[in-house]
Amino acid sequence: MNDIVAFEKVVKRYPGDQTALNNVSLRLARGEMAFVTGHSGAGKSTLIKLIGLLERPTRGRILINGRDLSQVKRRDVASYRQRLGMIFQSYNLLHDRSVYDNVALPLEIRGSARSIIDRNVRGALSTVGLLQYGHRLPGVLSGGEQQRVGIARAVVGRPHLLLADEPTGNLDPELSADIMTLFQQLNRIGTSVLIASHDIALVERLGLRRIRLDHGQLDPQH
Amino acid sequence: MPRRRANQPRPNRQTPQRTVRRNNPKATDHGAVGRRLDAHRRCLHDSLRHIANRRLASALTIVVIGITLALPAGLFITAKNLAQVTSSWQQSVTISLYLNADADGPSLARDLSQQPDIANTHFISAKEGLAYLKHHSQLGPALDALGQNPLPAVIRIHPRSGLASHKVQALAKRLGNHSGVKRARLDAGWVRRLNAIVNLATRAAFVVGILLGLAVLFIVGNTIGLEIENRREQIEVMKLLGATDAFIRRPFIYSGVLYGLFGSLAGLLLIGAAALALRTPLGNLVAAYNGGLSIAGLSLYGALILIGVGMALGWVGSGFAATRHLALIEPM
Ligand SMILES: Nc1ncnc2c1ncn2[C@@H]1O[C@H](COP(=O)(O)OP(=O)(O)OP(=O)(O)O)[C@@H](O)[C@H]1O
Ligand SMILES: [Mg+2]
Repeated sequence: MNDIVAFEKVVKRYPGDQTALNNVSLRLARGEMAFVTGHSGAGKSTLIKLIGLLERPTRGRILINGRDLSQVKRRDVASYRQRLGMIFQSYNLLHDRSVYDNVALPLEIRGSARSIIDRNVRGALSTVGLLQYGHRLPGVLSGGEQQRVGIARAVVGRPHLLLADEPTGNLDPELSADIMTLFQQLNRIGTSVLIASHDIALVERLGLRRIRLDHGQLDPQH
Repeated sequence: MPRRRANQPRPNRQTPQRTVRRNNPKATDHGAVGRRLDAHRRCLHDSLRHIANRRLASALTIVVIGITLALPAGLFITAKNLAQVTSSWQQSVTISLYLNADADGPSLARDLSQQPDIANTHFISAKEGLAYLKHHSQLGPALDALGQNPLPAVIRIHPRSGLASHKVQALAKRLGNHSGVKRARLDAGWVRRLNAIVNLATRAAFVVGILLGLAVLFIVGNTIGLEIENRREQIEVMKLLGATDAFIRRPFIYSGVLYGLFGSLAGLLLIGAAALALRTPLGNLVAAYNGGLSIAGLSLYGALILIGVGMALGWVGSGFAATRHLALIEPM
């Protein structure tokens, strides 16, 4: 019950009989940080999407913070997602809003008070070292900076679980290492973190737990 | 999740760092209501910005809505003026009572003139009638040859002005049954026909209004639908962040209401322009009637109704469109 994520014999089959995940069972403890690795097409993104309710499993059960995701109705998906922080390879920022407003969005969605939004946005922006860029539009920032804005946006609402799918996929090795350090910092203050990445060298250097996928199946040696 | 109860004291605001100001002019913290207002203000601001950003497309939409609203409004004004005209012409309606030979015409005329629906009466004796007829026709010799007066005595009645035409008809019928009266004749066939035309025009304005109102719904709905499709990626991101459909829909509904508002204002301008263009010919027409004719434009009340209708149509149209389109957008 102390797991933030629990997969029980999860199967995900896409239309066209493409089996992306086959009988996957795994656990992520509360406060833990782990990587999901594997070759291209191994099912990493699928695993992240299942947790974000972007996809539903074909079979099996997924528990997040003890809650069975099959019980989350369509109209409850939004409030469920509000408790997650999601980060993607493409930075997914809104380009007609300032950096500040992008980071503020999750709190606006929750209807937080202005003062709380202001305090948390500043906090999140300074965590990623971008407080001075708040008024800029995302388009003028570098790739690494944009990804940091995405991370600030993901953590501004203090999610209990941070999900990242290839967060460093578009970044050079040095920036990637910086971003990973940032995730480790966030993990140290209590956020559970699950990161999908095929950058094995980077992951190995960090020496953290790896969940290995191979053709949709869990690699038993992990 | 950080939550603040409404009555909690306002947190002290530290010396603000000016770098991240833009969006936070005066952080208003009046609890839930203030937060709600704040969110709405932000939406209004966003919607105005989007309309302004897409200047040409927005202007086209607004003009089309304006024309679509101005047409039925113009028809209504025309129908109303026609109704005005017919009611002023109603005053020339008369009822003629043809009396029996033994009736006491003058005293009947006096009695009838006391009735509330009757403005005045005028008694014409058989002799006067004959004299009039002789004077105004070539029938003199023929009438003389008859040897006796063939005409009945007549009371000419002017109904009270402003009396509705169906009441005038009822009055004529009632007077026809009066003792001493052989027959009552209503000299108003043409007024009745005109009335029928006015009723038709009013009804037509109503039908056209409903059809064009539907058209406005479609115009706004289509515009909002396109805007949603254009912002599909952004909407997907918002959904990923946990935004409800209601949250995403709100600025689009604001846009719809604003389109309705600006569209109805454009419609008012068009009506004003049409009135200006028609002023000289209408002035001539009025002059030809020696001021017996007055033309009314759109009243303030009418203008407010038009604006209200425009905004309501914008609201409904955008609401339907947004609900339909947003349900189809799912992040992948
Ligand atoms: N929407 C979809 N419809 C059909 N098949 C899909 C869909 N999404 C993924 N797949 C298939 O499922 C399998 C796993 O895909 P997934 O995206 O999870 O892999 P991945 O490990 O993230 O790969 P990559 O490292 O290239 O991102 C692949 O074979 C892929 O083609
Ligand atoms: Mg992937």
